[in-house]
Amino acid sequence: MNMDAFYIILTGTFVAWLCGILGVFIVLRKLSMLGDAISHAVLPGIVIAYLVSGDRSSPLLFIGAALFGVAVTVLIELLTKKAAMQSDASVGTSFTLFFSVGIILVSLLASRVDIDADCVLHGEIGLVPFDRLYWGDVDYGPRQLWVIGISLLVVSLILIKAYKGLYLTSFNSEFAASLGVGIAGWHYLLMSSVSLATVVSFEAVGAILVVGFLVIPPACAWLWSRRLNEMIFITLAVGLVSAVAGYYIAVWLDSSIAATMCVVALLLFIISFVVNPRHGVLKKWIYKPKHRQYAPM
Amino acid sequence: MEDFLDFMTLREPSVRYVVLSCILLGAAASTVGVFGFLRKRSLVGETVAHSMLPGIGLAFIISGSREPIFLVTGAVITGWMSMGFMNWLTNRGPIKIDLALAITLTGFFAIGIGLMTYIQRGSFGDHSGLDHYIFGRAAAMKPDDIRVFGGLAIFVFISVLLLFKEFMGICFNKEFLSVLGLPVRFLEFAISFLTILAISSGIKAVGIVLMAALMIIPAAAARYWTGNLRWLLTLAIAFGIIAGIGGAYISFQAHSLPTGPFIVIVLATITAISVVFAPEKGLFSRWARKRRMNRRVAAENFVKELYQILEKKTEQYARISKTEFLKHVVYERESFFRSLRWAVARGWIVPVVDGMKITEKGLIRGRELNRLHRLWEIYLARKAHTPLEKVHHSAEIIEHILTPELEAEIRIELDLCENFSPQNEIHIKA
Amino acid sequence: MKKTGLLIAMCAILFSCNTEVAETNKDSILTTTSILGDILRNMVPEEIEVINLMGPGTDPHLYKASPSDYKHIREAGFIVLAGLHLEGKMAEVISGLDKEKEVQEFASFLPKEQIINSDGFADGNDPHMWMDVELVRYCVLKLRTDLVQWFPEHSQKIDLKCEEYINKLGRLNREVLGILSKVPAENRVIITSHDALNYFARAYNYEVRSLQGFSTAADFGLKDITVLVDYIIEREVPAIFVENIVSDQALKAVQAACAERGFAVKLGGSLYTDALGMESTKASTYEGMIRMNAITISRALQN
Repeated sequence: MNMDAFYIILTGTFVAWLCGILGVFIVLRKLSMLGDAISHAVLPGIVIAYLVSGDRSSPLLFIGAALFGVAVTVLIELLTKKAAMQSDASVGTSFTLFFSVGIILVSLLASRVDIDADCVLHGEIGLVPFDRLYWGDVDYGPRQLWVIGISLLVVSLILIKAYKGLYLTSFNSEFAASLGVGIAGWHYLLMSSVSLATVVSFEAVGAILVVGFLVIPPACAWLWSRRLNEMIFITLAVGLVSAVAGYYIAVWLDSSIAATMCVVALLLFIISFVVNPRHGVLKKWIYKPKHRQYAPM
Repeated sequence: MEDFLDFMTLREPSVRYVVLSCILLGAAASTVGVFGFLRKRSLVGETVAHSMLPGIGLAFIISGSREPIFLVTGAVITGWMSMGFMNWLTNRGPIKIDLALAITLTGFFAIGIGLMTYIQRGSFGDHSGLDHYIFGRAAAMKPDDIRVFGGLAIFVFISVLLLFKEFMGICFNKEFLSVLGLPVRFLEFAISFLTILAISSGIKAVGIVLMAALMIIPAAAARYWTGNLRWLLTLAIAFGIIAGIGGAYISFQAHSLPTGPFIVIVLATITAISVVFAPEKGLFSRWARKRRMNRRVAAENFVKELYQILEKKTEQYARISKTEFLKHVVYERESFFRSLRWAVARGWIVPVVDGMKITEKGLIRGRELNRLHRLWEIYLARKAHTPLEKVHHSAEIIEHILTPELEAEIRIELDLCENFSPQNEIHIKA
Repeated sequence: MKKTGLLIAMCAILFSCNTEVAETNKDSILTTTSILGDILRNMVPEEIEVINLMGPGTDPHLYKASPSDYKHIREAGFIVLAGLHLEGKMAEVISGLDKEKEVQEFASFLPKEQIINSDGFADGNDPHMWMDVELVRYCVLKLRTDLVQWFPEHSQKIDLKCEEYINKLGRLNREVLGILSKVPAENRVIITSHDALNYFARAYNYEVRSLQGFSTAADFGLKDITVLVDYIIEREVPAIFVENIVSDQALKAVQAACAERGFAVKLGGSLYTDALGMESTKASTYEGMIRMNAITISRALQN
């Protein structure tokens, strides 16, 4: 394969891993729509950052987006926990509110400027090989790859440290609470990580791929295993295959690379859904439960 | 003022178009949204709206035209398929609804984007912004839209009126309905159908985000005010209508104030008010209840302590001085006066010169509290095998919330006679 | 441990790369928008291939690139962008390629005073400069120099073609002026749903009004609609114009309101703003597009 292809696939894989490992916890907490919500909620952050900096390519835009990404997760938490709102309604209320504020800000203050949220949100994975990081005159490779790679490293380290806490609070929060484990702390840590990771990924590969990798590989994993470390492994594997196969199929079809990677992940999910011996649709034909021995009373 | 009247009388045609459309759409969308809310799938609006993209693309490819009728038909078809897909995931497998929604949204939308890229590359004619083409703005309503939404609203209301109980059954207890022999699949189909109808007409006029908001927020806000389903529906519709009018009014005040987003702002404000001020579930109400509870507990503790001092005296209505009281139990200055005040307010204690006296009411309550305290201690010691050092702490809390019915039950459990009085039983040291 | 090993093995297999190096396409120019594509085609002889990324009817804001496009970008030697940040993120990234390729921005040749800008924002430039034929002529003149430098073997032919094209554009400009002058002065106002015609209006002395700014994300409110309706009725504007790439929902709403208040403003026809029309239409070239716009506007506003 040529270098461009390599960089694109590698970036796709890193995004799949970055979003996937966080996505496992998101899915376990039944907040799967969070990725989509964040993608809409960052708009006001981008607009405000633009108004402050006056420059469309300022890094401030990314910071604005990240801040509002975190802010929306805080609002969702507040509504769910303090105001006792259903979690799906909290998510829906929060992101539509933030997005509407963003549109109002654009219309009022920046309508004469072509500030598409596109600048930050709709990154394009195919452009990754062209956007290089230069230090002086040396070409260090694609900029986005560095950004995503470092984010992946940071998030992995955080997750290794936080593993036990997240594990407990994801699977059995009541138990964790009774043990005195600080649920809120882990939750905010996770939410902040997700916000940052998603915003970073939006800029590299666009919202659709981020949301896809956040939920579909973990969903696959969940069908095959309920053990956290296995789930993570399967998520990584599915992400890798989706990125690689997705790229080649996109080239063959000459279609959007990000969209194709998503669709490949979806297909893997559907296949898992149908074929899986424990839960799948075909389980009647595949699954033969072992006969249990009942111990005498 | 004149501006306000101008608006309210709907004199200006554009104002009339927008206000009427928003009222009708708001009412229809909130109604459909209530069912989504009750089934914990509020975000179905968001998912289905995104899932309509491939349909639009296919319709364009097949028909070669951007005529709304074709595009909307395509949208409805894939929107429908997405709901079917979601239901397949949740019914046939262990996938929870939020995950199904996310998977469907991403999957269908990705397919849509793939189609858009394909269209872009071919020579299909003016295809630009197909995806944006179908997403309207709330400020740009015309008389046709009023008719469409009027039709939608009527259809939705009639369906809901006729099938209210059945729809509620679907939301809460499908198995029960099927046991009763009701056509569960048809009813689910009906709800899905109404949802798709609302979403497709809605996003063509006002866009995805406003539609999603109208389907989620009115129901969520209404929930704070009532648990009664009929009232929930009525209130949600009312909120939807108020927001429609409010958003239109605000956007009428100055330039560049987009109508749709302001409708969402109004909805969010209504929600904020509901969250804080709604009776029972609202934050303010909960805070007030907590405050009342704290005061009652403080007063009760106070009178209980007084009672315990008086127990040892010969004259029950003796005056007890502050110093003597404080010898029995430690209170901080502020806390002492506050608790005394609250106990006096309840008629349990009267303040007298240089001290206080208990009243008859106070005596009864004090005795009762004492008894309940001892009762709980015995219960814990005997039935829960709690070590003696721990029972007092628990009893300090539980004594305030044991009702006479609970007391009677505990007595039966412990086999105690009606005339149980603490002194007759084994005295458990604090 | 076994699992990690498996993962690494998968990675190794999938990433086993034998690096191919992309070849640069020597005699070709890569352009982004369809309008640019046509302009460049008129500036260079047949020996130089003009590859155009966005086909006709494609809105540059909503353009989604595909793998073949990336291949073109990678292989291109000479790239022409529209300038003024029209292509958004893609423009930014392609500009960054100027170390290995020749990247020109068409609008960058314009002196600052010529660029329409909204006050307050350094970035608030209106990119639709191609709607003014004179500006395009100017940029063609300037770009010719760079083209000749980059393709020295074809320099004579390039010079010839550019000369021809500049003259052609001059004639086009005069033709357009003629067509547009048929409209009586009090009717010279162009109303569209979004701001794409500022340069056009300035060049040909028309007034222009729209509902939303140049941003596709911005939204308009009820007040904007009612004020526009008032304006149309007061000014007795004969027609309002739809654009080929933007929805006509808003304009139809304005039309309905005017009609109810007794003034039947017409929908004057579709204007080409950000992209060329389809191949079979008269607006499939830059000249055709400008001419069609002028004719559409003139016809509609004459009554």
